[in-house]
Amino acid sequence: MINIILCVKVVLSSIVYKNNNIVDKYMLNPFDLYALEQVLEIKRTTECKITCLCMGKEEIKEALVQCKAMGADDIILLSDKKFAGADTYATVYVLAQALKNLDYDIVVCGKQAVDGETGQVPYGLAARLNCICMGAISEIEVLEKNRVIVTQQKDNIKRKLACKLPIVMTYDDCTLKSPTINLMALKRAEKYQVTILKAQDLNLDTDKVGQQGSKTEVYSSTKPEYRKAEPILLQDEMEEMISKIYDILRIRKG
Amino acid sequence: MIRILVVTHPYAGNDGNINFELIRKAYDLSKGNSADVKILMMEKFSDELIQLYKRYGGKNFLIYEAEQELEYICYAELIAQVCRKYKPNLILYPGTELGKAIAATIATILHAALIADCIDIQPLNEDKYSFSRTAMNDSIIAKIRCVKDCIQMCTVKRNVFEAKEVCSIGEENIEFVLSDKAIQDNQVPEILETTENIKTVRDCQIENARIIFGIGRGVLKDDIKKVEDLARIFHAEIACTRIIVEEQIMDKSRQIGQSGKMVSPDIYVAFGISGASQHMVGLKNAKKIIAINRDKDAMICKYADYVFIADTHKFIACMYSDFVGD
Repeated sequence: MINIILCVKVVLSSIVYKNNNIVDKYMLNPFDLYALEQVLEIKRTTECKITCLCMGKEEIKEALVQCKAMGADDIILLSDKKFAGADTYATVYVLAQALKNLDYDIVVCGKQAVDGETGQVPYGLAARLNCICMGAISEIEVLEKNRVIVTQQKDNIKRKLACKLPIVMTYDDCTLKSPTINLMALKRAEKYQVTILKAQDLNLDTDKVGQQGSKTEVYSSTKPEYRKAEPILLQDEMEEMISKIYDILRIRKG
Repeated sequence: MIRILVVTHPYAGNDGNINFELIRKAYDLSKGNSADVKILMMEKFSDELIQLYKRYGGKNFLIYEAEQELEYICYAELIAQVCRKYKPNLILYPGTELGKAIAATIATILHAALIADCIDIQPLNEDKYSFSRTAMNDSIIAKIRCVKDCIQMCTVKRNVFEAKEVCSIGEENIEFVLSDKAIQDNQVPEILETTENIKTVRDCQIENARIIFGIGRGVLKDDIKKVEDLARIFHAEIACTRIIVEEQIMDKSRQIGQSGKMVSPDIYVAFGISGASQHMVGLKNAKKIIAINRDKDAMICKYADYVFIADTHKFIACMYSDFVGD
């Protein structure tokens, strides 16, 4: 049995779907949803166990149930007030400590989270777990107990690589399509108890978690102001606008 | 004394601009506090390249002679060794995939602070710096600082800092570094096969375009072809927002913004673009922005020099019939 740990993040739906009618407050990060779909595809042909590992508030539990309904075997939520306000450094520490208590052959991550957009966590995790991180993977071709063969697509170079396990890897894509979930599967999944682990359940140094464990802080945020003056505003008169845009573009051309 | 380390992207070739931008930024940062700047090169020694880097302010070079491109982990181990010896206060990395992978690894190995995709770096006090990046999908720019006593590091987006040449900088210092520990080659993956995709479409060069037509969610799919035709007439490049890439309408190489490219056109025409900060940050250096939008309260109108309130579909149709024909 091959143990796949999929690290997922739950994000605010409003970040992903602006202006749309949002039913649920939280959703799975689209990059992680894509990764989940990919590993579920592997599960069809390879005997493996998929565990989703997530850090966040307890109220995101419902969004995680979706992973179970889609076919993940287990879900672990790392949730503690002490974990709040973590930067990537502190996040990596908590995830890595949790991983050290689990059996894993391969750790799979989405490329990045839509809210933070740093893409740093997978590489940090690999460094903490003392293995390498393979980024930009488009496909897992072969998954065995000690070895994986993957296709990596970087720029216009495609490489087929064989790696000794364990490794951390990230997929290179995301999906905005909501997965079709079988209603019965969803009902069954709702009965499933997500495992919640707190700081005391993990073997960790609480000085290294959350805001306290972070190396960075946001100390100010400002609205970007790029414009120097009030804009020239035109409306209603289509011909006038077209002629104006022509003037602007032509001056530049000439 | 403050020490700054610039990690250059090895074998950057035509993408070498990011290295010039980093070197010039480090040069500017060093002027205020006479910091000692070292440029780390991890590629085969090339006097030509050193002379080129000198033009942008590079003076002290550390060279690790790698005969070929290595896996990120090998570079990371080498840099960790350099840091233990040289003890930099600040490290600048290129915001390339490789640069990000190396930086994130070093942050963990050396317990350093790391800020991703910076759009600005300013001295905060004696030895601390302030780093700016756009924050969580809000229309804000977050200023971030390091709160622990550790190395401060950041990756820098391409095209953010200007690669201006400096006046003559004097004789360069070159120091060769060796890896004092065999790089863990047992971890490095075995390459079974390499194929180069010959791209059918020419690589797009929106970074250097003088005029860019940007396409956002407000443009109907059927209208995109028309905008492309118009772009040809005005010698403009086509670019887009993230949603257009995610819906696989356009290639990622045309995306502008925090997770895409930084551009600096003379004129940016935004068709049906709402103006989320992630997109707008990529336009920080655009000289003139023209927004065509139905909604005069759209965020983009706050940045634009010209705001045309119109139905994007009708506007494109009108422009098309005027300049292309029916």
